[in-house]
Amino acid sequence: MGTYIVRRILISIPVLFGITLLAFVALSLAPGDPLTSRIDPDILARMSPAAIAAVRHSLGLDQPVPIRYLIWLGGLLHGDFGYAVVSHQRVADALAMSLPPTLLLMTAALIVGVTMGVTFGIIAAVRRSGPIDYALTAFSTSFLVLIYLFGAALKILPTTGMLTLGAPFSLTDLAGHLIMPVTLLALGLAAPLTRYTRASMLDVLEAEYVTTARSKGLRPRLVLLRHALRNALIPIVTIVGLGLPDLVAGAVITETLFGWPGMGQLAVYAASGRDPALMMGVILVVATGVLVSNLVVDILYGVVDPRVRLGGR
Amino acid sequence: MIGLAIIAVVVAMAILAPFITSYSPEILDLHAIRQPPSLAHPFGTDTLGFDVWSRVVYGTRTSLVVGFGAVAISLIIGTGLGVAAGFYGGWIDQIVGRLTDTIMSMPALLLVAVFVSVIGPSLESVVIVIALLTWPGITRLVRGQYLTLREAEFVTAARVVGVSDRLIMFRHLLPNILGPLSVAATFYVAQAILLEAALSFLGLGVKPPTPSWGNMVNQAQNAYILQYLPWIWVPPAVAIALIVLGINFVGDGLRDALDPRNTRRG
Repeated sequence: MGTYIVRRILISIPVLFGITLLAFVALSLAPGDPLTSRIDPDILARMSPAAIAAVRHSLGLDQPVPIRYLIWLGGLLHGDFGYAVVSHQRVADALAMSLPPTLLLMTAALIVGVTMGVTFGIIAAVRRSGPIDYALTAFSTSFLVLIYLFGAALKILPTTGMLTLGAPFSLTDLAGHLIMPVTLLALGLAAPLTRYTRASMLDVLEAEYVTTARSKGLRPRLVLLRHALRNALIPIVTIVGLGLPDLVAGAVITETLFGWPGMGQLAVYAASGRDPALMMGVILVVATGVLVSNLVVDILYGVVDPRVRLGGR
Repeated sequence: MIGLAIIAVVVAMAILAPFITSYSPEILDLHAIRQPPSLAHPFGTDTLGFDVWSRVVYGTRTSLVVGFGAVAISLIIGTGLGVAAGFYGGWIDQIVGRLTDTIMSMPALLLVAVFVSVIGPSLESVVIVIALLTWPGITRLVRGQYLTLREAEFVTAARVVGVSDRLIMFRHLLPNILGPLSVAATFYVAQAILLEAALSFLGLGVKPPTPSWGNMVNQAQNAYILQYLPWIWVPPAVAIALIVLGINFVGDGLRDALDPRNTRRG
């Protein structure tokens, strides 16, 4: 297991370089002066043309793209992500400010979504082809309308921001603001998960060891959760893992919709402002996040499936 | 069947657009802004005076062009690379494999947003960028199928007779994977349409006045419109949901019909 994890990490590293290189090359083809992303724009505005040329040379901006990529990587080692053009902020600061809200949002959505998806999937599988099975499929779409009614129309739940402006910080305030975006995000995760859990449970429920367990006279709930679910979990872990990039994409939309001050909003802000340094920072953080969570999913296989843990490979 | 019906209606709307609308989707009428639905404007008008119904109708064209255009291009790239990687293996497989890993490790929406902002947002750039970033899924599918198929006996037989590699790849093997490929392609059409809608919703994709369901829903980011002028954003939002649902139904149906293992347990 240990060597397996190390090998997975080693595979992830070139992927990380690949994705940043790809984005870097694309962004360097974009119109605009990369100098503005390297030094504070306020200072830049007060410099003479000769001084600017000197700085350009010293920063290596007169170099070809591959060299500039290496310079950018070198900066990263010192925690230097460059400057955001529009906000005059250091990219590292902007990232550090946006990351916690997003992590909070996504962790909550992940927990709610997986719980909902797996529970609904089990229920749908047990009550196969009954009215509940169909109702659960229809439920996820109608549910969206419900939260819209509660949130926007009836004004029970706040729909923008993370905290009420001007109010003192309180956990209930934060939780209230979390409900709408988290439910929306979680539903996106739960819908496909329900279908896969249902299919996976149906497969497992027909297995002979389930029949054996039943004929032994074990309580149905025990058969379902201890015998069937544990085996059905393996494909479910895969689906959760595959759904993580989608969750990030969903977070971009959700954050914009609800004014949640996280990475998603930062990404949209960077893309609409064509802010190269900020975009590179966002991409680096998101790619790292996705790769790390893929790693966690791989490790989870070992937890869920003893064959992976003991098989060695 | 429901899926096919929805798609048929959408395609009909796209073709017949000029005949079932009485206003141009790209000409605004400043005398008629924010009007609720009426006989003259069945879905009302938006904040700029665009007729919502005609923008929804013409929006089908945008969505279909993005969906089918992007998938057509990514099928060509994806199948080509997948065939090469699966059939030859070796270093070609390694390079293609790393490339697909790299692109698939990022959420497509974010990469599409970056690339479209570089090229400049327009319908064409959205189609091209979506195609350039969605081929890895198809490549993986094709490669996997070719890995098993190339060991099949009819391939050996064809080799013995002296059929060229190129002919084996495309004449003998490709027809064998058309089933799963068409199922996957169907789902990718839905995904591409959603991507465009999401991108335009964020204001990074197709820009007004070109009608797109995504940029119509974009107006709902304004809290006032969200609460008091629902006719502006509900029709395009429902349209997006319906077309994606319809295409996914068709995909499910295709998969059931093509999967020999499927015995329809009741």
